[in-house]
Amino acid sequence: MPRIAIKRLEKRYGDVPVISGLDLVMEDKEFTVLVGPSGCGKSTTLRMIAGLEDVSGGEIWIGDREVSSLEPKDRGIAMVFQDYALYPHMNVAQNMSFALRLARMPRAEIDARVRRVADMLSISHLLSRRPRELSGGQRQRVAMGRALVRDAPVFLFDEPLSNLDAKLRTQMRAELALMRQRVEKNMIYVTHDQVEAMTLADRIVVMNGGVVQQQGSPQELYEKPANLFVAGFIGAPAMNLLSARLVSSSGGPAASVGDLVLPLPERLQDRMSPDSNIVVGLRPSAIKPAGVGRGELPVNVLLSEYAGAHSLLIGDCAGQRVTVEVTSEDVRRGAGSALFSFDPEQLHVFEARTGDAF
Amino acid sequence: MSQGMSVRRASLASYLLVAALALLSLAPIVVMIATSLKLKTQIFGDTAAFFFVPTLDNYRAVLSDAQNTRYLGNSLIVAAVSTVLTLTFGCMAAYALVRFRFMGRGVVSTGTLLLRMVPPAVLTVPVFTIWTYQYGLNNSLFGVILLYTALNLPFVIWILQSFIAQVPQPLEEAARIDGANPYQVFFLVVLPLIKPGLAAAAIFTFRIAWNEFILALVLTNRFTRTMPVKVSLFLTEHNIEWGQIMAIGTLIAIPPLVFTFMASRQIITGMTAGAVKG
Repeated sequence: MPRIAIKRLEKRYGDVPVISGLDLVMEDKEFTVLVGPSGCGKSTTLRMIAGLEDVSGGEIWIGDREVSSLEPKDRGIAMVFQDYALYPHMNVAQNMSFALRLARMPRAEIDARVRRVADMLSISHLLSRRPRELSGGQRQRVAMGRALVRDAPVFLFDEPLSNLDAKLRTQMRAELALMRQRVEKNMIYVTHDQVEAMTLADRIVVMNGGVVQQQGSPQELYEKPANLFVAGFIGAPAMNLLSARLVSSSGGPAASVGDLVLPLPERLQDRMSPDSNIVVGLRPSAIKPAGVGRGELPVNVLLSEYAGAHSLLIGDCAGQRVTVEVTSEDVRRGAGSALFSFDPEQLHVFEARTGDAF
Repeated sequence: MSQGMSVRRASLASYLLVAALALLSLAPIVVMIATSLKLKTQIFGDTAAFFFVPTLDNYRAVLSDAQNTRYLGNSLIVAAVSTVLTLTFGCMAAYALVRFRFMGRGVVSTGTLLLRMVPPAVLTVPVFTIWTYQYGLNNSLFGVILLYTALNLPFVIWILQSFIAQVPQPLEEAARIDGANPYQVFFLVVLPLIKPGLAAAAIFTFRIAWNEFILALVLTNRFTRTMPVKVSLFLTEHNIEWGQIMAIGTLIAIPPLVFTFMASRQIITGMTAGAVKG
């Protein structure tokens, strides 16, 4: 299975640059997820790897071949499209075998492969149906099957779950995760849904404005976001970000948010110049009931969102909006002022001007 | 109650309108078929307008004439071959106009329709001159086929463009990734999906080629004549064979009818095919 390397990749539509100087390496057998908001260039990047979009500059290497000028069919890739793109005039078996028939593979082997993949995806009973006779989830599987049958070394997914309803999406996500345990391929997956990214990826590449913001394992991105964008994008509910000013207090570095003073992690002691503008980040789940952590956080609760075992409290802290995740038993206290606490070591601190993490 | 009455009155009026329209379009056909089943004396007599003993004499006369079967064959060849040629070139041209970006694309795309606005009669003299003196294509079926193809292409290109534009591009991309070359993408994926468009275009082209008179009259001789031309020859200065004219007219109407029914079936199945995502 080849390693994919992208070097100084560029894409311009006319004079408008969409991607400028993108460098990425996707290791062998790795499940890489490109994630970012719409228009961040993730789909364009994937389509350039697939060969569906011309490259304006730079190189794409799959294994030891530079492929950026090759036709899609010569790149050794299989792809699952957002709208499935099943051929409406062919039945499921014909859809799945299309590539193999084009490659003039012997009939017996085509049948065997289609059977095997159809069994794996539990769609054997659908083989003679047309796409229009299938439900959304079944079409999704067929699209997956059509890609799997190829046995191509590289697998591309372009937002494959975005057309499914919420329940089916969760289910298919789990099946995708199961499938990738069985199929050892180099997979690149594009999505705007950070939950999909977190649950599926070996490695997440967060993109914004055609630029890679950060790449790493889901844990790395969650625990050590490199900048404000990644901090706000990864994790649900989103991280609380509070504008603050750096002050020094007797107990070490601290941030003043309005008239509130929050203790900062000790490790940041020497790295910051006092009196600078910063943004303090704190995950909703890192906010605990009063007395648990060293830092204190008074919140004027405005609203609670019940979500089963957990609930979200949305409130106001020194004039800025914060979200707190609590177990639902705690919600019954209702609206009004409440005191919470946090562990200063779990605070993320960013420079306000550049957005970079300290 | 009054509302119900007005609805009924409206539907009655529309039924009458539809009935009148149906009568208008069917009457000539009824007269044609009836006349074709009459003897000459019955045609010109004023007694047996609707009640008469039908005879197949006219059909016998028409079909026993070896010339007529030959002309019928000519008509079939001209209509069928020009339809096939028109669709073949038309779908490829339409595909290029819809999917490829090149200079002058917009001009060509709208220009095709402009060409359609030229009445064929205007072309008669120049085409005759060019076909005869430059290429020697007069009096040959090929000359007629070529002309019909050229005349019908603009409209077919125009009609197919809208069908091709509706084929979702991801399908073509999926085919490219599946290993199809541009021709395979076109013939294996795009073409089956625009069958309804092809059927509509085929009906149109076939009918025009089958019925065309002026250009065929000018470009054919007694061996290469098509049926519409032959019919006109029954009008001589001595005699007008109404019975035979109507018999031929009836026979001529059959192939386009059959063809239209066959082709329209494609249109109906095509309408339910579509659907890419759920």
